[in-house]
Amino acid sequence: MNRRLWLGLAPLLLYLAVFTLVPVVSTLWLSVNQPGIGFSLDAYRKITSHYQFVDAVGNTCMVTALGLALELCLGLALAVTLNGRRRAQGWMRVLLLLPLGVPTIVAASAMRYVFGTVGYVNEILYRLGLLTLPINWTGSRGLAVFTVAVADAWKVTPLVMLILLAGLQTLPREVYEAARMDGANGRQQFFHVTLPLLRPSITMALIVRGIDAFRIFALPLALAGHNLPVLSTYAYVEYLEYGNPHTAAASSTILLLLILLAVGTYLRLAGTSEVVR
Amino acid sequence: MGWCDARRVLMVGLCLLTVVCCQPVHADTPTVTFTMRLADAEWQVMRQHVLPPFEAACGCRVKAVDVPPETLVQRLRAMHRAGRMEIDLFAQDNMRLQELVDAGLVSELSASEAQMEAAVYAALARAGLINDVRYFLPFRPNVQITYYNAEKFAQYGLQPPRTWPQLLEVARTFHAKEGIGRVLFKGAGGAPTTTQLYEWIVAGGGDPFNFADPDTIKTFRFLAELRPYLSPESRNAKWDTTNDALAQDVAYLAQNWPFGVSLLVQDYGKTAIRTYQGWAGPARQAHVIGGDVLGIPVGAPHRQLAVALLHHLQSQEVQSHLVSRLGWPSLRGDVHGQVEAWMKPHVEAVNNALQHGVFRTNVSYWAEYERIANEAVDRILWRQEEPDHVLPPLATRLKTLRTQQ
Repeated sequence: MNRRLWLGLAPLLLYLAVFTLVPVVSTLWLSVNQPGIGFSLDAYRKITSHYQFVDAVGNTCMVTALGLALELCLGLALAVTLNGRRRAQGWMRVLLLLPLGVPTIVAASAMRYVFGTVGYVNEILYRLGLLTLPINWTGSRGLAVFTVAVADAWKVTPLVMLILLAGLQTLPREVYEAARMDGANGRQQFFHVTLPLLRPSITMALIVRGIDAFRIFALPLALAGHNLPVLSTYAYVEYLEYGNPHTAAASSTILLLLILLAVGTYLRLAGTSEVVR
Repeated sequence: MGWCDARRVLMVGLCLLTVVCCQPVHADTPTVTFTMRLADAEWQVMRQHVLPPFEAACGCRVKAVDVPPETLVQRLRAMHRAGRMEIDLFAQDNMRLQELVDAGLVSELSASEAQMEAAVYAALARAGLINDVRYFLPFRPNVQITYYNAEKFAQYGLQPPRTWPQLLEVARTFHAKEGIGRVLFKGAGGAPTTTQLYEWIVAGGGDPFNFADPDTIKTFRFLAELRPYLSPESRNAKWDTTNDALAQDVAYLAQNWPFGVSLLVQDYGKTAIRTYQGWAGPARQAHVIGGDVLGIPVGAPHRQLAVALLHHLQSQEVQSHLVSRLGWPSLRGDVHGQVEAWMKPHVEAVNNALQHGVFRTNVSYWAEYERIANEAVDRILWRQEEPDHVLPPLATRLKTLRTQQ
């Protein structure tokens, strides 16, 4: 039985070893190995003393935090709205899942039309009389973070919605009936019944999306270019434009550590049992 | 799925496999692999008009592959290390040549291989010499020209600027009249920013590789003076987005390569967009000559065919196609008469700019130079730091690089 189990797992383990473990170890090695010197932390010293790397770390954290907050709020609102409406669920789910099927780079190009200087957002604000001059949505750091977070939320909120909707559909009706009998109104039911019971799903959504959000790449690169460096685009620019694989590897390693730290912290705070449950 | 369905699926699969396997493999036809970086429209012309005549003449196939200039070195290095060179001929950005030579990835061209027709501009041939050795031959010269929106200039009674003070005045006027800057500086970073900065520093009389040079510092001070009147789109401006800014009337004055002409006039119908060679700095008029040169990697499997393709690409027939169909400036003096009437003023602008063309010096630390130049622009233009505060440490870093070369 054990042998069969390992045989069944072998392709997956082989895949993980070749396409995940080896690249990760190679990247780690590259980050601490300087040509002609050998083991050295120079790459780390070089990037951590550069203002754009510090910006990239800050931007990655801000885009992740804002994006996750937006996705969670919107995803929860959509999931609660759809829950119980079985008729609407079919076509609404298809409609809402459409952005998830759009390739990220296509989504980024579409967002350039939305947030461009002569894009739809500026046009709408201008027609509403809220603007006299167009806003450069990626011109300043704060606006660029906001724009990328919104664009990311547009694309991946459906995934969060799906996870939360699945969670909502497993909640026992008896609890709500009991709450109603105790006189709880809709708002009280949401905050005191739904949210606490939905915590495992929220945790799962946060972990799945959190890992992905830290790795955000195509959207900031296509929307804001060098204006909004995040860790992944910083590594990309270091490698491709400045031809330095060592600093690129160091930056990627720091990104990996950041993801591990975030997931570890969250699991410690929220409890692994919730995810397992 | 029933047994019959499964059998049908299996049959269809087997048929597809048979079709794929029975494709002719051209076992006897040599295949020349040629790499370069082109836009879709450019590849179309290359595949329809440029490569087929060569394939017919040499009895070979040309496998044309799109390879960005920044990844060519890595690809060649990997193939070279593996002892399996798969590229026969490449076109490469003329600013990324030194690293190819330093890494021993490009082969020297013999005197007969490097022979060029008399119609090829002698000045362009210089770009292929590294340490007085001929490694490359010219293919696609390029020079930055200046685009302006003639309607908007006429509306405010302005003339296209010919000097830096005039440029500042035009930028101020647009800003005052429209409440927003309309002059574009390619400040998004990367090669577009470095190229434009290099051109401005040379025009200002400075040394682009010395940020302690008084004239280089003056150029940065001028940029800082111009900053409040620049189009906000400058922060996102690269070579491709500059075309968008001009097409959407976000910017009325911008420097770019000539490839934008056919795009703006033919695709966007922006007939109000005119071109001229641009302005002079306090020292001189300077326009960066860019473009691609052709080279043969060390260990290319079909060297003779690669040399033949190289000369085909320089031929009058091919260069005529590239000028008339793509508006590329030509490396030959005998093809400009064949352009369409609407394109003639733009070709004239290109020729005028070429007269003041400057080649960027090939240095082994170009990638690092680009990082330093980008940092200077980012901090002075967008973070609004004082040039006197930003430049000294960057000058020291550049000096170290120069001495290490």
